[in-house]
Amino acid sequence: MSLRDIVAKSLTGLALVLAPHQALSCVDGANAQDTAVRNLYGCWRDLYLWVWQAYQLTDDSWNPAGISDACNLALPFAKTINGAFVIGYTLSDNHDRQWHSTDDYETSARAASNQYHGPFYQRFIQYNGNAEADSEVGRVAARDRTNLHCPIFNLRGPSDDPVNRGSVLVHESWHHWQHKHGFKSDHMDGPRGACTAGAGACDWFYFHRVGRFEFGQLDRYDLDPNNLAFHSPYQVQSEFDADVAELAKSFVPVSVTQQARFYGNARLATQFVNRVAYRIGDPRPW
Amino acid sequence: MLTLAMSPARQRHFGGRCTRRMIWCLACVISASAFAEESGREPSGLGLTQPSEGVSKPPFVSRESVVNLPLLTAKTIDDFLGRVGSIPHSQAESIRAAVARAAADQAVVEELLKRLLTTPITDVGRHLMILSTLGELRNPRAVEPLKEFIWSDRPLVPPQQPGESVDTRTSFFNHDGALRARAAEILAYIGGRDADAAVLEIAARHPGAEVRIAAIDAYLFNHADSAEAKEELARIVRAEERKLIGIPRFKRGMDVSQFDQLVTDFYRRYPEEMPQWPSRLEEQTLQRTKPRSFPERQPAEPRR
Repeated sequence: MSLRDIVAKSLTGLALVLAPHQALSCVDGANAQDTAVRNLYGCWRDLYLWVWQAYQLTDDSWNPAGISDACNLALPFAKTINGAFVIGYTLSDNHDRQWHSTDDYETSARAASNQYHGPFYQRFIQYNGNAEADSEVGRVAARDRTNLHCPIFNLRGPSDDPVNRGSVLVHESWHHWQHKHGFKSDHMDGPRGACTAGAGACDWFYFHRVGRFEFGQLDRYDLDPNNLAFHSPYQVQSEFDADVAELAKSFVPVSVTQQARFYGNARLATQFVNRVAYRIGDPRPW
Repeated sequence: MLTLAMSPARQRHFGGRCTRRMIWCLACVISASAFAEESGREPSGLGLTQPSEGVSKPPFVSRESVVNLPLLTAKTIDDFLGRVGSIPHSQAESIRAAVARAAADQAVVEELLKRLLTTPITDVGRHLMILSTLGELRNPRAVEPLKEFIWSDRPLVPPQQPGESVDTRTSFFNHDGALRARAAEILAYIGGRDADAAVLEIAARHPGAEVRIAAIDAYLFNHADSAEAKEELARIVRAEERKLIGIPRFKRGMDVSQFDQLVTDFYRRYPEEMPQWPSRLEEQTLQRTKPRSFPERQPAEPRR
């Protein structure tokens, strides 16, 4: 084989590698919940550019996941934008009743270094196991990261829901909070105590009164034995679910509030080692 | 796709100079590919924006959409279920009214039940809409199929692949149990002697904790949280779940101080339900951050 042949074949191969990736990942497609949320804002360039940066969906794992087709709701990139929209725009910020504010959840979920955590980025992983996502903290000579898995994107998969995706982003960011503040960031294995979930799916629940955390102060904690104020990842996720279920803005679709209640109540009942002494919302059809 | 087919004449014409250019080109492409591995593309490939701090979140002007629901009939069920989730939650009354117009239509109930019992469930969101619509119809014909759904010994949702092992900073969810729990709430809402008996049995004996707890709460809700209903539940539920009878509901119209007090009292009464102290990282891996003190929320002060 001549040098020219080698060069020609190498160049052809590279051209194939560098050609635009096929927009295929997980099981593509948009369900009614995602469509209902997207219809609130349409194809919004300012939003997807902002989320891309704020949530750091910036590594090349997003190339085959729709980053070059940012408004294609069938693909993980646009679905992640939808999850970020739920975090950033659906809460009413009812100061008297909400667990925490939009700004609290969003600042935690964002990837930049801030009072919640150090810098991290979010990867898309074509992993089809049970876990919806996981976080890597304390990496050596590399940024920490959150890995978002196929279950939260798979069309007709049970976790493919914009509210759930938003709450997963909040949950995973809390592992970064734990790490920054010097707390162990692993979940416990279940079943254990009241937690009926499996391996790596249980947390403690640290109840606090509704007004214990002023808006803008979710990042704080207090280990005073008489005044404990603390959050575990499933707890902050359930509080987000509760706020979306009951205190969403008036324009938010009923599928969003129903799903938030659905996820929140099941988590409260099954993912905490100690029992949680409240339910989210009234158990009625609509 | 790039192709490199050249005629022999052209090959001779370009000769070695072309090969050198190609090698140079190859080097450039390899450099570019190395860069591409480190940072992904820009969304949609528009402009030259690179991620940076300080970009402001775009403001959103919300507008309540108007979603027209079709008349709910046996023929329009799928269209109805596809659209109903888009209705703003503040307009839930319009859903109730739309469903109420179909209350006398037995064919609607039958079609909904057929869809309810079609498993494995491939669209959880749609199934939640089916359950809510069935609940709003309050037709006793739904009681037995709902019991069948709740007690089914087959998985309702396709089991996910086990996948490779992941670390323990993950997020999981059991949709199967959550769906059965929602069905228990709907059964309780339908009410009547048979439904009530079924809900009590679920509260006492269902293997899923989320289903039992949902049944306890829903039974109370549909019996006006009465003392009699609490006593009835206390007689049948598991001993360790008696303490959950009558726990408060976090909801938009709640009295916050009463809610806080009820939950605080629960943990005082049952100190065994207090959490373990948060675990610290080992000293050598601890990132030193001091806890910041913070004042409590001041409820009376107007803001925002």
